[in-house]
Formats: sequence, C-alpha cells, structure tokens
Amino acid sequence: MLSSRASCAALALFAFILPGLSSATENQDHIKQLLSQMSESVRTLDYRGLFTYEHGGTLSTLRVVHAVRDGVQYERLQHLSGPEREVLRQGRPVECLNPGDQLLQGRFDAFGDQFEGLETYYHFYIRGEERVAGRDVINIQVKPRDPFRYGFSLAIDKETGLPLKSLLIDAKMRVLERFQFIELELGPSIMESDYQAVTAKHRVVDHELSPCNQLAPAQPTGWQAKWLPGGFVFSGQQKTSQGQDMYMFTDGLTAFSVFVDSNDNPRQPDVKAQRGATVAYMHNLIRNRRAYQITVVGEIPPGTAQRVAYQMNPVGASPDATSPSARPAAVPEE
Amino acid sequence: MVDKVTDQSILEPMSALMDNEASELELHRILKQSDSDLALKQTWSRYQAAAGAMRNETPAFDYTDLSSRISAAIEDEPTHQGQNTSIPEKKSGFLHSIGRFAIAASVAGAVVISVQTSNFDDASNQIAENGVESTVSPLSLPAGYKAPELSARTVSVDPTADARNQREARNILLVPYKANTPVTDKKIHQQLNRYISEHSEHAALNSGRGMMPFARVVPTADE
Repeated sequence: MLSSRASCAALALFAFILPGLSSATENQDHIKQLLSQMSESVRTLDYRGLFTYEHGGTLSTLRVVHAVRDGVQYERLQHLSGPEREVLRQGRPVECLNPGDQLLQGRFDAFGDQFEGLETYYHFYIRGEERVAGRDVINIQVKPRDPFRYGFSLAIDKETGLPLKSLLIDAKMRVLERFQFIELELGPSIMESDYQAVTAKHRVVDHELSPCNQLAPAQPTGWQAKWLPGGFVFSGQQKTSQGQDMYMFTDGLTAFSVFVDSNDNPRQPDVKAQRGATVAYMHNLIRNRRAYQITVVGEIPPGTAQRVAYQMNPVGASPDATSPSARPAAVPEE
Repeated sequence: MVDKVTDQSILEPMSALMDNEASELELHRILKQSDSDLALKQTWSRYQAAAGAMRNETPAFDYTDLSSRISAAIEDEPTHQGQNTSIPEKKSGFLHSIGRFAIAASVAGAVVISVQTSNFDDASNQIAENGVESTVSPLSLPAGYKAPELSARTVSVDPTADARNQREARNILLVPYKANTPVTDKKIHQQLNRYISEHSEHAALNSGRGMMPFARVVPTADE
C-alpha cells in the first residue's frame, strides 16, 4: 500500500516534470535567439515609428527613423513633446557590431575566456505574448542574478525582432522607466527626407564612440576600473567636448560611463543624482597627489555606481594611493 | 523523514495548482488543509521546488532583497506559524493570504516562484516612478483583474500643468551624499546634464535598443 502510494506520487511528479524539462531548455534557446535578433534588427532593418518614454510620472513622445542605404545606417530621433530637439546618427556600417551587440549575440570570443555569457548574470524567461503598437510581441522578463544591475521586461516583435517595449525594473520591483512604441511602420517606404534633419537645432552624434567587431578584449588607457560588476566589459573611451576622459562599459543590456575630470574643489561632498533610471554618482579622489572628480553615469543601481566610482584608478598607480575616501566601498545599498 | 500526506485526493488539485490550472475552490481546499496538515505543506513545498526547477527558476533565484522580504512578511503574519487560520471572505484579503502563505512555504525549503514572478509582473503595471526616493507600494488587485497599462494617473484639465511637468522633467534630483550641505550648484547640474547626454550616446550603441536611450537626455531649452 505504501509503495503503491509512493509510486503514484512519483508518477504524478514525473507527469509534470518531463514536459517541463524539454520546454525549459527550448525556452532558453528561443530567448537567446530573440535577443540576438533584437540586436540585429535595430541595426539592419528599415523602420519608422512613434514611441513614448515615461519616467517619474512624465511622458515624452518621440519619433524614430532607421534606414540602411548602401550598407550604411541613417538614423534620426525627434522629440515631439517639450523643447524642440533632434538627434542624427549617420554613417555607421550596418555590419558594425559594438561590444554590446557582440554580448547580446553571444559572440564572447572578443572578451577573453573569463566571460561566460549573459545568462550568468541575468535570468531570462518568456512571459507570454501581447500586443504592442498593433503588433504581436513576445514578452521576455530579464531578472538580474546579483544586486549590481537592474531587471528588464522586454517586448520583442514576433515578425521582425524589434524591441517594441522596454521597462527597467529595480530590485524592489518598481518600474523606473518605460519605452513603448505606439506605431511602427516597416520597409521600403522610408525616403531620404525621412532621416534628414528637419529642425535647425539638430545634433549629430558620433557613431564611432565604441569599437566595431572587436576581436580581442580592449584595454583602457589612462584610468581603469579596479572593480566592475560581473559581465560588464570595457566598450571604449574618448575625450569629451569639455576635455574629460570618458570610459565606457556594457553588459549587453545596459551600459554605464565613467567621467574623469580634474578637480579644483576637492572638499565638495559626494553627489548622487537620479533621473528616471539614470543614476549619477560624483566622487572626489586624490591620486598621485592630484585631486580628481570621478562621475559614474548609467542605468545601474546607485550602489553599483558608487562602488565603481570609488575603485577608479590611474593605470599603473598603486591601488592604495592616499585618498580622503579610499576606504573600500560597502556592498551597494538599494 | 517526510510524513505521508493522509488525504491522497488533495494531490491532484495541488498538481493542477502547480500548472496554474486549479480552480478557486481547489485552492481554498489546499490552503485550508495544508494549514493543519504539515505533511501536505511539505509536499506543496517540494512540488513548488520541482516546478520552479523545471521552469529553470529556482537555482537562479537569489534576489538579495528576498530574504528580508520573507522575514518581514513572516513578522507581519504570525498566524501562519502552524495555527489554524480561516480564509477571509474578501477576495483581496484572500489573495493576500495566499501570498503570505506561499512566502512561509518558501521558508520551509522551497522558493515559491509564482508569487515572486507575479510581483515582478505586477511591476509592469505601475507607473514609472522617480527612482530610489519614491516609496510606492505595489498594486494588489483581486484575481482576474489587471491594472490598466497606464494605471491610476488622473488627467489634469489645467492647461499649465503640462508645461509645469515638462519643466520638472528637466530637473535632476540631487542628493549630497556625505555632508549635509545642500547641493545647489548650478555648475553641477549643467555638468551632470552634459554627462547624461554623453552617456546616452554610449548607451545607444551598447544596449541593443537602437536610438531609444537618447530619449533619456535631459531636455534643455538652450541646446
């Protein structure tokens, strides 16, 4: 009697374990393919659409156009609410994969052996389908496996793989920002006039900020991050228009930038700033008897930004150079 | 050693529950019975663990916030520590107690994924709030109801309100981190705006979402 009960229970258990097993791995493969397709479609397709950006109770509406002509991308983003603004990005080769794309597409060779893939740092699962901008989408939930990054909810267009909705969610399950398309138009109807500037106040941005199709892990010069959250890789550096050194890092789904500036007011307290999902942490430190101001900006939890800021160091400097605040950063608080 | 569940007929509805196919009546029954039946409680935990593992969820689950939330929830709800509880009539309260129970069950050894998942999902229905400083409690809705995509925000008929919102949207929340000196420095504001702008350029190349990150740039009239 006992054993028959036990086998009954075992059977009942297997009955729902077995179908679960195969679908779990299938799902993971499907998700990988969707993320890879997302990074591919935003770069290679012709599309035009309207989307909303929402944070902290404010909503802005924007129009985006993306076209590929002779293997080169032409993009335009126009703010439809608030002050008139327009951003143009043109000239990036369509086959250019930035480090973020390489990570999203699972091409980890460029980052050396220590890199293990996005699923080491995030947990992905499919949460059904819905409709966004009149199109069928697949919802992917992306949960961080550590406290150093935020989670996402992504809605990916079934037909094209374009991301039509993206929510950024913190550890307390609050949505910090939402991008959502309300209209999407695909294909050949996009004309040259669609991606040319329409206002005088437009800004043209640099498309060579980050290296293309890198084959080996790049190393920053000048400054380096002694601590990085797992999975983040160095994705380029530049001098800003104001003369600061800017160092960039990404894990494929999110990015942060570190600005190093000379500092004439080393007594200024640390500053933490937040706008929507974007966090900035400003920290003063002294290295080699000079005062610097380190600012970390990105869509990362404040604790992560703080810890990165504390651990920036000039390349070749001794790690324990005298600093008024050289104490090791605490575990990031939320 | 695990005790045997005395009433085998409960196992089928429980299995259905794992697949989200249990009726409300069955759920009531499981809840009620597991309150007095420790073996049933343990079985439920094992089922949850197995179901979670199959969905590839359990081992991954190490949200740092979780343990604190578990202990907080248990402190709130001492009645579930083995005492007899009746299920409240009201639907919302009823949902609440499922959540509590599930959290208690997770302490018994298994992480109850469905509850965490729905928390995560409920988050999608909240309005994007302004960062760390806000304290908005998560929506709790009766079964079968979903919050509207853009939830309870009243629409203002004040024509100046929108302009005011737009102005406020330009402000960055500044918190001096160590000393008590308030940061009023306009220079810092401007510098942060520039940094966010430069950072957006970077994010728009390295987060797989095309030009969307440019929407984050702080709008300034003089740009």
